[in-house]
Amino acid sequence: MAAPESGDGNNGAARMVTLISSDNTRFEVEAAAASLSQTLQLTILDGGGGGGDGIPLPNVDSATLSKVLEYCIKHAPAAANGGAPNATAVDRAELERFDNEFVNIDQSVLYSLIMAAHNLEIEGLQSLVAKKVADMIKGKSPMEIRRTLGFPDPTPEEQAEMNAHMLEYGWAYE
Amino acid sequence: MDSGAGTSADHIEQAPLPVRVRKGAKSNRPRSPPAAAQTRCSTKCAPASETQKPDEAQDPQHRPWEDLPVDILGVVVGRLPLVEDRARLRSVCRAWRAAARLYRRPPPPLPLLVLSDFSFASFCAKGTLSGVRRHVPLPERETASAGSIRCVGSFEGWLVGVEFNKGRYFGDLRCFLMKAFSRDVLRLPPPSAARPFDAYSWSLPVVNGSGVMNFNAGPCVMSFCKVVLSTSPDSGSKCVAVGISIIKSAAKLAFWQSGMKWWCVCDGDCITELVDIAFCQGKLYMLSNNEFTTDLFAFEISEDNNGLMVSRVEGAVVELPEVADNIYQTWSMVEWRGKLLIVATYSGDTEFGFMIFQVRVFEGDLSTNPVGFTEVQNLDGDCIFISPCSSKSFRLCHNDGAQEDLIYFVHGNLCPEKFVYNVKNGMMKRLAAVGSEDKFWAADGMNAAWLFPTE
Repeated sequence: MAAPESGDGNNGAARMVTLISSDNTRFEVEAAAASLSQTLQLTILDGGGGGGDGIPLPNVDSATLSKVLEYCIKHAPAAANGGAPNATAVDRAELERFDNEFVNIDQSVLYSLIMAAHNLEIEGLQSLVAKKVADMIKGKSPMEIRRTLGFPDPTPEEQAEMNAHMLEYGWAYE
Repeated sequence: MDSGAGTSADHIEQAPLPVRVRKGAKSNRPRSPPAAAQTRCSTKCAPASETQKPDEAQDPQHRPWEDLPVDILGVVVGRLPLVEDRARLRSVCRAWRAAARLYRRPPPPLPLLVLSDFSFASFCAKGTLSGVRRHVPLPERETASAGSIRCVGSFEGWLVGVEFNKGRYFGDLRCFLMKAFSRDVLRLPPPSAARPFDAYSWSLPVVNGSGVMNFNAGPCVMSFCKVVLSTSPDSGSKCVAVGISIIKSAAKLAFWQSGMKWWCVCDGDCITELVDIAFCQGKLYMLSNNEFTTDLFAFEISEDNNGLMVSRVEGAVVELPEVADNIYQTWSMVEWRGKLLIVATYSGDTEFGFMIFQVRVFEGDLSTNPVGFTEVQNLDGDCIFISPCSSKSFRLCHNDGAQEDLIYFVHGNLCPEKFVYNVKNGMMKRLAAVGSEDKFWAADGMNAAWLFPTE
């Protein structure tokens, strides 16, 4: 049998790529999962990331990257089905449960995640974290939002500006 | 050496550490201008530069969320369906305030329900309404004679207010457009005024119908119960306002366009009992009952030297299907994707008492007489908001406060009622409000208008 030369990994095993975090940790992951990132997809289509090369991601540290890949691996099968119109309700419920738990993390990790999702152009992840952040903000006063997201205490100048803005938008406050 | 104890903060600043703009910012130093956030965020992916060093995250003065790229912040805002949450988010810090002007427009927030006294309710989680506690602030000049101002219409973020003259029978004293939550006010001519003798007038026969419409700019005494606008007053194109005035059961229609000093009043024997008015594709549509029939009139609006001019009026009989057990029905008109929809509600005695038991939505084909109607079975994901003073179709995207293909009703014609109707499955459920419901109907009559604030 003359298997075509292209598509290295067509014989059962999925093609793997290597990603290198900013602190030089190497992650080996299925190309299908990494391709959830629009940015990586282009490189991978060009044949990058295979063998010993690896794709360096100087913007993403290893803790964040492992979290990002956890998301990608979970979502890759559904994405491969093209939005999965034939996915069962059970599958969808399972993904939803995963998503809810996945973003149940500290705000500083959420920040790293949304930045990574943005840089790597993983739309689903960016939207998931954005929704989580929005849920954390809903119904809160500006000071409560600042505390929730770990802002330092406002300087007197900042406080004055906040007060002025809140006064102007007084209707938005109970 | 970089490990010297007692190193001052300034020294650290000079150490070869990562060079994010905010890295060295001290709390006592003025913050760098928000424009910095703008330039940074436009970089979509910059793998080689701007490495985030781990020690940066530990810097207590580092404010990662404040530096959130503008377009990410825009995505977060798009996930906040309530206009109040968006305003509170802008209060958080200067960078976020500045960003609000830069990110791609997020999906519009959910509307507010403004009652006739300008108090308003907003959506809470799970599609219920908040209690009515807050007021849309009124401009000082318009509240000089406080207490008699009421809201009679809306268009997007604008509200229409009138001041009425103790008894309604004497007509409204003033009329104004106001951009809610801003200080923009546009004054319209007084609805009741003696006017100059050289006022012109004209008549038009109703095409395809019988009767004549008379237009004049003579003296008038009007009290508006609903005012619709053709476009937003700040849209740049000419804004036409049309009001329904009813005094002692005598109905009039009044037209105004930017620049006109007077309302152009339309009456005629065909205007007997006005049901509703709406703009669609630039024409004004009016539903009117008379003794025997219900008619739909289309007014074509053009311009001449005197200002606004109605150049053609076409009429057609409306025959909607009968519904069994119907005792009382209401019709509302709304433009949906360039089409004119009539939303009909049917009320009668049910096992739960007298109430609306059916809703049907029809698309009118105005090229035939009687008007041809096709029943609409889905809104293609859109929602429709109906209230006595304003109705609008609306695309709700990414807003988890509401679902698709729903019609939100606030009706006060017979008995006050708020409910949500699902066009696809025919389900109807009450639109619950948190807290006391009294306030919804305490104000003058049942008038209410959905307001679609722009940010």
